[in-house]
Amino acid sequence: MDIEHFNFEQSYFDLFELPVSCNIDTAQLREKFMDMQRLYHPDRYAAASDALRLRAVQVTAHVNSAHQTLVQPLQRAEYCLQLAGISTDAETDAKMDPMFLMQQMELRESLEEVPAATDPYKSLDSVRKEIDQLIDSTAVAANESINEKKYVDARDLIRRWQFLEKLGDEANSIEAQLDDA
Amino acid sequence: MALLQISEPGQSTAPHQHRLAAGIDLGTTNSLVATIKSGLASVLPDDQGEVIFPSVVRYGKDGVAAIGKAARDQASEDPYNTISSVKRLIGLSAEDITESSAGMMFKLEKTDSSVPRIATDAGAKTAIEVSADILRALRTRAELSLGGELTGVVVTVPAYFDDTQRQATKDAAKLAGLNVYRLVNEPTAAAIAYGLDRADADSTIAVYDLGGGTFDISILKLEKGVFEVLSTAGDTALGGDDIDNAIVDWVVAQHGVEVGGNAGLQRTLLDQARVVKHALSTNDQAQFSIQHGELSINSTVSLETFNSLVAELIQNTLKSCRNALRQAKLKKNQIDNVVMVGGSTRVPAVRAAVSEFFEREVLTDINPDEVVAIGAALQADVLAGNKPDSDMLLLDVIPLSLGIETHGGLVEQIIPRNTTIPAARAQEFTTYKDGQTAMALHVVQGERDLVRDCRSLGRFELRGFNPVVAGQARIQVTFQVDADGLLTVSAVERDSGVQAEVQIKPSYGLRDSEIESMIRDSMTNAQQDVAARMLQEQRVEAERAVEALDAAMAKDADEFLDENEKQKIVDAREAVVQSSTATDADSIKSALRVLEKVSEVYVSRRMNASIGEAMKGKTIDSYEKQDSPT
Repeated sequence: MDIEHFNFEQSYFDLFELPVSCNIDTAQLREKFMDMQRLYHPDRYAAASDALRLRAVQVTAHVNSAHQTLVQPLQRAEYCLQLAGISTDAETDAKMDPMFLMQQMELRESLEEVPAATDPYKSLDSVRKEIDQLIDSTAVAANESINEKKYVDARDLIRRWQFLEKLGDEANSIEAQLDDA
Repeated sequence: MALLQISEPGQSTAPHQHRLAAGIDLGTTNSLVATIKSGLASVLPDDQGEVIFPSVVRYGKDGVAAIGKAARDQASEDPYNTISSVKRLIGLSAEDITESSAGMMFKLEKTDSSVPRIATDAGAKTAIEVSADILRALRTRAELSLGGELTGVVVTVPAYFDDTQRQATKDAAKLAGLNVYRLVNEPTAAAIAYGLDRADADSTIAVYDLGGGTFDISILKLEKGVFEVLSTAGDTALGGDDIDNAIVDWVVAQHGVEVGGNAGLQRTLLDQARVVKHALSTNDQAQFSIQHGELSINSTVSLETFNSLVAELIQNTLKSCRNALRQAKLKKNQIDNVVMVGGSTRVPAVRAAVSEFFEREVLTDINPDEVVAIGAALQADVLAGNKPDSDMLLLDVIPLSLGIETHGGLVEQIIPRNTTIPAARAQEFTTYKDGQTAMALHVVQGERDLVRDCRSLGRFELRGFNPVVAGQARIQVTFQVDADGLLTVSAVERDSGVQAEVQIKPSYGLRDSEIESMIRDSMTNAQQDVAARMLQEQRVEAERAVEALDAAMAKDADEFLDENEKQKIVDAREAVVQSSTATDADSIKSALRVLEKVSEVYVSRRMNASIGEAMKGKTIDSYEKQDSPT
């Protein structure tokens, strides 16, 4: 596909010549990504006309965001659901299991207690380990549901996954605070 | 459909046509320009054979009075008209700096502009203009040496430069009449000079850059052609000048000399300190001897003494190294290569200490003053298309997250840090109050949640959309970051369909200067180019459609169409012809769509007929025979 005929409409999976699935061949994704960079990157058009350079920026930006979406497991799962016509926006109403919410609150409390712990790094690591394990199991379950086209289940699992990723981010920012102190 | 033929990237230039490209290291203290000649990278000297160009400009009544070495040598005669270290000011707003910033000597012009302007005999100068004068001198040097006009350049910037500082650097280059292929991070350029981008395996690189007045340590990760800056740390007031001062302080203390405000004596002492420092890179001891009026100093400086004088400075740089490693979440032994940059890394004690710290040999083969410019030249040569077979591609990431201020002074990130560029991301926002018809958008850069902790990049206003209930308006804000990491932001209110106007006011605010209008023009032109191109494509499309239709109609219109159908097509054809004179591509497109629609029946009847024609004389049997070999 030359840069003039670049198709912005096709799905990200089609763009990278991958089957629509949560379990993708990340090596192929990477390889196709690099191929397209070599073809479309603005540096390849550094000496070309302004119009073509602008086109190169737009095409490469599209390729980059497609890659970003597929390379990150959560974003990829969200995208699969989006292709199936199901929104995973935070605003869309999804009932959360009270047990899950309890667990969330406990994890959050553990994180809040980290800075005051005798060995904050150690206690951060143990909370983080718990979060990471939950992310892994939730991700596996969400991906299975998507592959089996059980989209309602998948949506609820993805909502949990989103919550857990946020907790992971919080753990990282606590680590940054510890580093700065 | 595109009708223009585009050759493969890199193949577009004729094989014998060599484009003149150069790499420019625009430094705080010194600048250099390098180029590739017959496959070899070299820095370009002036007519005295000097490759180092001091980043100093002296202004007089008629403009630039002296530049480079001459300006530096005359600095003490005319301090307020001699601007040095201007890189420390580039991209900063008037609030960011004061006249005592970083020990620099200059007077700021009092204006209502947010851009700091330095008062000189040649008028008020912005940091962009001073940088442009330096770049212009380097451009002249390169063009004289290469014997032709430069097609494009790569200019290096510190990895920690934010969007405004990068934009300002690019503006300076444009003002100097240079076409900037790309801004490249200084540590990345140094790694390229050592060919580390060609390594097969992924690697982690530390670039230790001890210049005349600044120290930077950057940790880079190179993974399959993607350079990522993991962390940067450093000290903007630490460098070789401190070593010179330490030597002078020691000598002065030894001899009980009173320097006081004697600028001439100070200059003589510092010059001799530099000679001693250089001598001690290869010798065990050096003579410090000056004769200044009545005063005569003759003193032996041993390497041991010298090393004790620089020990504290080295320790301070290592502190930054530890900080950079911590930020990158790496251990010392995870660093695969250590690249040494900056003249001060010639000091043996510096090399030894860094080597000991990272527990490995450090890379010093390439002249540390020249390594950044050489890397920039190598990249410029590739970008100019002089190496069509080159696989080298630098993928960069944005160093800091980009976002927008939302209600309550919070930051909503739109493009997170470490996103590969170029990048484009759109996000919808809504109104806060009922009946709101305008929205102020504040673009910020940084990792923090609160706007006041981030750097302000610019403010926009989106005006004139329909008043609706709070939360009903849908404003789509689009961020686009180009390959240099430069940001363009646009906003549109979607429901009203009104294309409300957005005004961009960069924080470093050259809104009232010629520079900005020049740059804005170039942006507008690029957009117009795209529009013009699309229009042209649609016109050609329309022409072809009408031609094809006329040919078909002349042949068999009466056979397939009744009068009513024919009239409809003729009307639609006329509309397409009319629309071709329009100046927007969309109206041609929609006229074409109407024509396609009304011709559908004609096209399908002709198609059926031609299939019938093709099948004439063939029986079902013969098809069956073809299909099955029995």
